[in-house]
Amino acid sequence: MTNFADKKVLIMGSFCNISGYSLHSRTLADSLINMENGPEVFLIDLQWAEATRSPAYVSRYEDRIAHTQQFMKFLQSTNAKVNEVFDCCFQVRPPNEWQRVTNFDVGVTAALETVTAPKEWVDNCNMMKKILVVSTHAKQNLLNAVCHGRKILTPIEVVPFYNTMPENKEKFCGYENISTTKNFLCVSQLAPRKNLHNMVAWFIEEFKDDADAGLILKTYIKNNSVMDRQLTSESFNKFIEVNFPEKKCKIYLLHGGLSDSEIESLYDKETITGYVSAAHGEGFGIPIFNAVCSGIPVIAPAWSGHLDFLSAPVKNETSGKVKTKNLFLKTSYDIKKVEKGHLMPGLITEDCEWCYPIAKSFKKNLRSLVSSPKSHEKNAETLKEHILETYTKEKIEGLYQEVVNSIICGEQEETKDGETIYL
Amino acid sequence: MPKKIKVLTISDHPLLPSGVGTQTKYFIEALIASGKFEVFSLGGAIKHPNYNLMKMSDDWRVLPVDGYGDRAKILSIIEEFKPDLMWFMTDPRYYEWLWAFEDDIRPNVPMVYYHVWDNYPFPMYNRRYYDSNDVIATISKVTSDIVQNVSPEVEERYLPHAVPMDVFKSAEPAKIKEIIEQNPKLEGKTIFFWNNRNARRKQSGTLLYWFSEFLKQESIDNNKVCLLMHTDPADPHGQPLEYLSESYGLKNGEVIFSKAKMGAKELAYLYSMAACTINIADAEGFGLATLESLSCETPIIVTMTGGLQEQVTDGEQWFGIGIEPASKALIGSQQVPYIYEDRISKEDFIAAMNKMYHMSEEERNELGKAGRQHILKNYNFENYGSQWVEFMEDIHNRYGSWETRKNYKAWRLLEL
Repeated sequence: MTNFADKKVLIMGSFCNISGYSLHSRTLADSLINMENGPEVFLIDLQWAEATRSPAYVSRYEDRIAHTQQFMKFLQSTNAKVNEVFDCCFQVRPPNEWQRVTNFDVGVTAALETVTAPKEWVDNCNMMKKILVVSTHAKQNLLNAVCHGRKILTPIEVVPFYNTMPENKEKFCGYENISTTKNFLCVSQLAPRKNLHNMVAWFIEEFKDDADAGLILKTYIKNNSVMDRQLTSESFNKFIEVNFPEKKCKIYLLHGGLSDSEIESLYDKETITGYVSAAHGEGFGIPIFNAVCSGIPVIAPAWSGHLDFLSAPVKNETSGKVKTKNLFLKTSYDIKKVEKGHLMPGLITEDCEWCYPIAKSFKKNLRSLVSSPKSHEKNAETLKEHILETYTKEKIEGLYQEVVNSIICGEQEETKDGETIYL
Repeated sequence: MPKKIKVLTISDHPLLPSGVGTQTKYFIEALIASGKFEVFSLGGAIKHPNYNLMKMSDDWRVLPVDGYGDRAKILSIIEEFKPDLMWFMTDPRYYEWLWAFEDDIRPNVPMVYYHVWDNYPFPMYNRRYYDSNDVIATISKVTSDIVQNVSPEVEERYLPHAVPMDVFKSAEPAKIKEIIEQNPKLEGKTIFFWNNRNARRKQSGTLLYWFSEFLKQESIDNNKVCLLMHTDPADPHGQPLEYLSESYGLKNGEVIFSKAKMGAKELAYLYSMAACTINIADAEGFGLATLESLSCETPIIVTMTGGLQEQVTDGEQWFGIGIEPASKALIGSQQVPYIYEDRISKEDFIAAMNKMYHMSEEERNELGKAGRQHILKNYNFENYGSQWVEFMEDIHNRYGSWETRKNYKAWRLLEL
């Protein structure tokens, strides 16, 4: 194997926060740090919005981040040019924040959870030499974007996440306080895209008289602070008091900082009947992926990033033919424009569309999972086996390492028909 | 030698003469004097002349900051200084930004908030702030009761302000005589002293108006009484006191303004000259001036509100006159939805003034001496220091920090 020890790779990302982009940053960074004879990896740590910083991640990366800060100061003092020092730069952040840093910049993103990325992203995407996304949906989202007739021409590769769920997990100690036996889990930010209030309403409507049904929401608005907990609980409490004062089913709010192992322990098949999502769209859907890797049946809209890992080849027992089959409870949906109140300037613009899960379909899936769990559990187990074989740490790290390998060994260009050639 | 406990403080700049700055300085000096602590202070103000790190001693550094700092500054100092405890003080409305990311701080560093709240009803809207701390030290008995009721899950401890009693003490008669000789307008007068910021809640205009009414009584010889106001009569936050004074016909030395900034020693002379110190504020968290007055053996007339009520009486004995509010209006703002504003009546005020004025000097001296004993027992400066040292050590032992952090639960599971 080629020795890249004298090569330097810069990664910009929110390594120490708790968010999807932060996990993405860490996955990429660890892949390159773990690379045999790999390049020297430098990390510029960015703060992801107001997200919580994890002491564990701060501790894991602080030396490398501090070393990078010192190195950058040294470069400044010697007037050295960043693009002449680093062989490439990976920027794990939304495309509107990408910038030219080195001669080979790689944009890393989950793209947008809508049908089409905003036109404002096109030029920034074309500034990159390569783009890495987490799902085929994310890739298509970028390819659909058009800005005054211009499209994104930069090569886009899909590099998903890998399974991090241990085979044997401890039971989450908080579950001792759960009195219900038919439990659904959702791990998600409380944001318009996640559609949580509708999901809660549909759950209550389906199980309003069932005191044995529970929905566990691991959620937050901005971060894991006490103030955020109070705002989050107020938001749901008012919603439930006004709309469902007589409900008998239980809604549990789990809020705050959990360690990696505590997060893993939430996906407990013994406690959780099914994982639920009614999101308008996902770039990837890490919590859904965690549920799949834990063998928990998933109810989700049949649209966007998570579809990549919700199907598996299944052999027909009679014909012997192998067909790829969706192994989750699909919620029907409509594709419609994003509501005005949910627009975000420069990101989710007026032209954007995403999916609107249909209440009746979602509720039917809830009922189906509770009334005939066996078949869904079997599907979940089949899916788990397939995903654990295909989304392994070695494979995914290998994909990132190949990207670096190709960049350092020779700049690559993509021909019009998509074939990659090396210069 | 055992490792020193590192404390990050956020407050008014400890070298500023504000009440908050002064108490912060006393607190830090007590920690440093114990030899058990190392302190890094963020010294807050609107603006500073320079922002250089100040090395006060081997164990104490002060970094001037605009406001009280910001998220990036706090996190970078925590990463560099690695404090074992964070201690911060002043109105909760100034710290909403800090509590908004307490989840980035508290997993490693316990947060200790030194707090005062002026009045009831229980401010339930403060609960989200209170619950964001590991420990709340309270400055007044009212605040202590409020925190215990609003946030029963948070550890609370009453630790009131204190004054250095070796500085705030009754001046020698010769010194008083010397000062009066330099200020002939004070000669032979019963002096009522008022030492406050000229601000709305302090009721400075009301005091002047009622004082003029007090003087109109036949039993009062206007030539033998005066109101000495140590304040800025033109403070933009208050009323134009010189204009008011003239409007009420107080033109012949009945009201004297002391406008110059002065040190604690000089201030102690003013307290010592006075027959009584007045504070009729409608809201007062603690009220340092009356504490200083009692320490100088000068009795007080105060509104029975906030921290003033625990100064004027210990529940059994009185050290002046406490005036019960005649009205408790429920006022508020967008940030403070409701709080009582305690207003006293003119009649009660004049009755208190008459009572104090007609007391013999011996009677007033007796009240004043008892007042100093009250301060010595309950607001003693040495106790203040030793209690803080002991308390901070205790917090560190019970809550730990970084690798030894304990008694912190980062998450909650609530049934909605």
